[in-house]
Amino acid sequence: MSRWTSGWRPALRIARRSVRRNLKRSILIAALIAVPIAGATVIDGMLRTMSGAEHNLYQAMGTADGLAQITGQHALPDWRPGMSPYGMHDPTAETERDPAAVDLLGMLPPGSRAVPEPKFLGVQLTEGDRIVRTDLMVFAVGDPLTEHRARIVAGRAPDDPAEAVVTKPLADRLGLLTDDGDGLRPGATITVDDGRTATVSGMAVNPLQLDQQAVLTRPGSTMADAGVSFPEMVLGYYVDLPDGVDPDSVWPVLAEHGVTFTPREVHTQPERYPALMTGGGDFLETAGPVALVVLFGVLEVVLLAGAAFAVGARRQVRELGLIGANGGTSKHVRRTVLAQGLFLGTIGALAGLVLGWLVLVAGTPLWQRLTNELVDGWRFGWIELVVAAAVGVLSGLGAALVPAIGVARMRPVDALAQRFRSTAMTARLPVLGVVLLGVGIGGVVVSGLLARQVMADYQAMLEQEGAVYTSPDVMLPTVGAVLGGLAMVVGVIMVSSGLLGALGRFAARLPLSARLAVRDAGRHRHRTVPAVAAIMIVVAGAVAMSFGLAAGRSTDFRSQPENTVIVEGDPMLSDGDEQLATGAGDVAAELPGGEALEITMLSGSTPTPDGGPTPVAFGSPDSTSPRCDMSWAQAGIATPKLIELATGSPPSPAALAALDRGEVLVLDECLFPDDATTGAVSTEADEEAERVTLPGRLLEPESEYPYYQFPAVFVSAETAAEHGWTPEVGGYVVTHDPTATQDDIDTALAAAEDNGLNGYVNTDESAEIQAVSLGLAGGAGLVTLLGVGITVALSAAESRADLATLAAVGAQPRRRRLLAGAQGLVISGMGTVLGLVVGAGIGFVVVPLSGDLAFPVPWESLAVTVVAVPLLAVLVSMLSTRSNLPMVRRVD
Amino acid sequence: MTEYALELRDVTRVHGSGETAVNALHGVSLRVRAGQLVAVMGPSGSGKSTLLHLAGGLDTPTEGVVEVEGNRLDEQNRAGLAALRRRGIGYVFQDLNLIPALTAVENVALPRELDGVRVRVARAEAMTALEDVGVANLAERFPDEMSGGQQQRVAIARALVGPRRLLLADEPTGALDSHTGEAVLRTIRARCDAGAAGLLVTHEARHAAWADEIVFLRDGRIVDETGAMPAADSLLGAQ
Repeated sequence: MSRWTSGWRPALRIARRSVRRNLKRSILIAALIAVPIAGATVIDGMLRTMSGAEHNLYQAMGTADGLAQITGQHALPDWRPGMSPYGMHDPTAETERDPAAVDLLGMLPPGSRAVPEPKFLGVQLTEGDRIVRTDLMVFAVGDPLTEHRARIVAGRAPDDPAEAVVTKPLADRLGLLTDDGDGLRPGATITVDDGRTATVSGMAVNPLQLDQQAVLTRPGSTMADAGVSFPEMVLGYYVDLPDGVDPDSVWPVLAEHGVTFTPREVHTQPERYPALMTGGGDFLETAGPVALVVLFGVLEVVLLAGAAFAVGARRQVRELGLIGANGGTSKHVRRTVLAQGLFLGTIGALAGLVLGWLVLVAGTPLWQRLTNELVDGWRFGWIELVVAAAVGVLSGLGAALVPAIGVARMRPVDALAQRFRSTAMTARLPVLGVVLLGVGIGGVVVSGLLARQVMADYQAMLEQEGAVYTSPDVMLPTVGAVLGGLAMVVGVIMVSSGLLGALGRFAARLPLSARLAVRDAGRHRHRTVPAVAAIMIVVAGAVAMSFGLAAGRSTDFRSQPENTVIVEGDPMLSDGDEQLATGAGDVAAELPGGEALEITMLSGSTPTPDGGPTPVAFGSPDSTSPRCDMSWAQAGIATPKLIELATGSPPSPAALAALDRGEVLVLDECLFPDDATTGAVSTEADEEAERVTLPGRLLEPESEYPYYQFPAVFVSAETAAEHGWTPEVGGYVVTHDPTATQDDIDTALAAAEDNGLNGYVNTDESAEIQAVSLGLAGGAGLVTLLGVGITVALSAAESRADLATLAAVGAQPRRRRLLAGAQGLVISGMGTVLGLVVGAGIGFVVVPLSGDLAFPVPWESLAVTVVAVPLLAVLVSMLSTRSNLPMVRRVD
Repeated sequence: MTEYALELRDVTRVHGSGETAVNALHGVSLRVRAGQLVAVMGPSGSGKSTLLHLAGGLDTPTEGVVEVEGNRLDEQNRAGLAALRRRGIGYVFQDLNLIPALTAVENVALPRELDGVRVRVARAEAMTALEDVGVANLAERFPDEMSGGQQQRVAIARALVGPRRLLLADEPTGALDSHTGEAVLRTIRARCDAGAAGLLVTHEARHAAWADEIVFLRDGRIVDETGAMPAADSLLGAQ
């Protein structure tokens, strides 16, 4: 024991004191380690608090001992805790009883309490001329067993049938808040569109959905039956059992009476309930990419902190030589440097945990707003945090590892003289790097070609009718891409040392600052190579992901044409065509050049089982092509304007003539395999549906896929009448000028809301993707700035004597800034170019794997990454460097 | 048991190879007994520091044999050499002798701790060594809280802590004023009088005067060996 600790004790002592003596560098390294740990702590806290077992339990049953659900069956002999009450019998079969008639308390142990789960309905309130659609929840408001559904924050729970409570967001929308925004105006009332009124006794928030707008009322109150809802097949109750009752003795008794009882322990001790259906998903599919991201994240920290350690080890080399001169072995020297990594890793990890905790606790109001949930207290997964902290400590050790090995290999006499020699290994490294790089490029290219072939084959097979394939087998190209990418990364890191040396040899013709920067980078590869590698990795990641995102862009689905607002009513709440027409007119009035066009859909004469209209849907039931399987589209009445909106051009005379002949116009080739399409009058176009086959004509839609807010099949009014199909107003499309601002559109959507209608605009996913791409480039830029900043600062610290010499020979003060800028350009430029090469290589595989064989190039994000990021690095390097040259004694 | 604490026999050291080869030492033989202080003098580039590095096992000779207390250094592996430096050989350099992150007593105790001696025992031995060189009152100070002379005395204490009996000093007074330098040499002399063997590299004759024997080096060869010079105190008195 003494032997073992004897080597570490002085090392740790030296480490502890060295950390204090080099405070700025130590803080930098600890911060590099701490920030990812803090991030991990925040994510862990968020996940544990917002989606962990405790959260799920609270969401399911609040503080109750269990959730009882009464089914329509007299007995559920096969039910076990963890199973759903819905899956125990044929849902279409007739129920054996009315769940509401079952006496639950009579089955529970004496002293138990049961409170019904909220019943959710929709309701339309009137406020002046406005219609406000909102939720209506009927339950025991204010009961402790329902506090996870609503917590009273002002006033009191309703205790009179003519009272109700509103959530705070609804109170705000209805103008019921006091001026300070915290209380409820005295005497506030709400009125339903049928005229009934309730006094608002209090204000509540839903702790699991803070922005919920809802009226909350007790069963039997005036408001309780003001809304519209579907009939309940299962009635749920929150159950509070008397003390000492084993919940596992309750559920078998209840199951015998057709009632399920899910105890709290199903969530807290799932291992006790083997019947529990866990939705774990494919662990490997999730964990694999996460592990890869974590691995590269740790590598980033190791490289950036490693640069700082390398400088520290160099400055400390004489001290380390003294250890050798006093009998210290290579092991002792190595431990002395490693101990600093261990020490800083520990400090960084602990600081990261504390920082993460502080960010969560201090930012609770912000997190609540972002997650839309109330946070009663943060929960953490201590095992995950211990693992994260251990990774942090290991990062510190990893960062110190290469410098430690390098210094420990030095002979004491060289260390004392501060002479750094190239070892045979470092001389061979670039050669090995070239080999690895070649292997990596080869692997990636082959994987890319393979992926292209696999996807091309897959798409060709999809076109063949009768072929059924679940998904293409991309395992081989994926593994090849990962291994090839890794080989490229490692190869580039090894090669970059030689590249820096080669750059130095070609620097003679460069201006002074650039020459000095290139030579400095070449002479001090111990700090330059890690920074270049860190930048290269993050740029490669950003570039590869940009390629992937660009590939996804060409397969976007758009909901509706540009410059349109679709207005639809709620099928359960709308007052009908008049309300829709008025609402669409109001929406059009708010938009420049606004014009409302009716979208008329078709329904059959037979009503659905719940009394609703039966839509007329067209499809290709006999098609066996997997791509076109299950493609059914609702039919609408054709008008030239609607067809123009759907296809991007006015209908041709031939198309109009086809309509007149009784043919249908089809926008999706999947519905149109043999120049004819089949219409089925059915809710789900099932086998029993009444079918009719009509001749058709295929139109090319403007977008790759038909707009899903539009009919994909058009029929003339005459043809519809001929088949007995009834026109129904499906909604309105409001067209407007492209000059409409976001404010105009927001006002128009609000006008739809005020009429109790829904307004939709096209979601521009390409803009979001572009934003993500630019965000990635920005992230790469941030790491680049960090890497450049660290290296330039280390260079300035390491080159004080050289800077003093520059000052002594009469260099102007701005020379130092120019030098810093040139250093920034060399490091960021080299890292970026290498990253671009590696990233494009990986992108070569990623693009075909995402189903796009065209290999689109994301020029915008590449330009930002390759041009803007290095330029910004130069600018920041220059601006953050003081211009005065230090006049110091040369200490060597 | 050999009578010499240090013996170099026909030692040659060539740096580099081919056209860039430099003969730092050529056929040098030297012996130092316990209680004896030998001074090595010579101009810059004569091979003084190389001789000292070879004597301490920091460097290995191209030819010839180096023995420390009867142990041939060429027969030791790296671990063996390190162990010998922990237990047998102590160095004092011109400057920057001490590890800045350790206090005086910790610096002195370092070789003992590296050797696996318990901290308490190592500190006690270090305190004794500090007392021997007269700076026990500085035990808890860091190097940057001490003067150059005080630092060198601490380095001497470290060089002779525990069982170490061979002191190798490379220009130990080079960074000191003359008064402090004389005090440091008096300390080295006293430690040799107490039984240690010392090899002192210097280029100043008045410092070499403290030695029992003086070896002159030029271009890597011993060009002269003399016996004891007049006592240093008498030389100082004559100034």
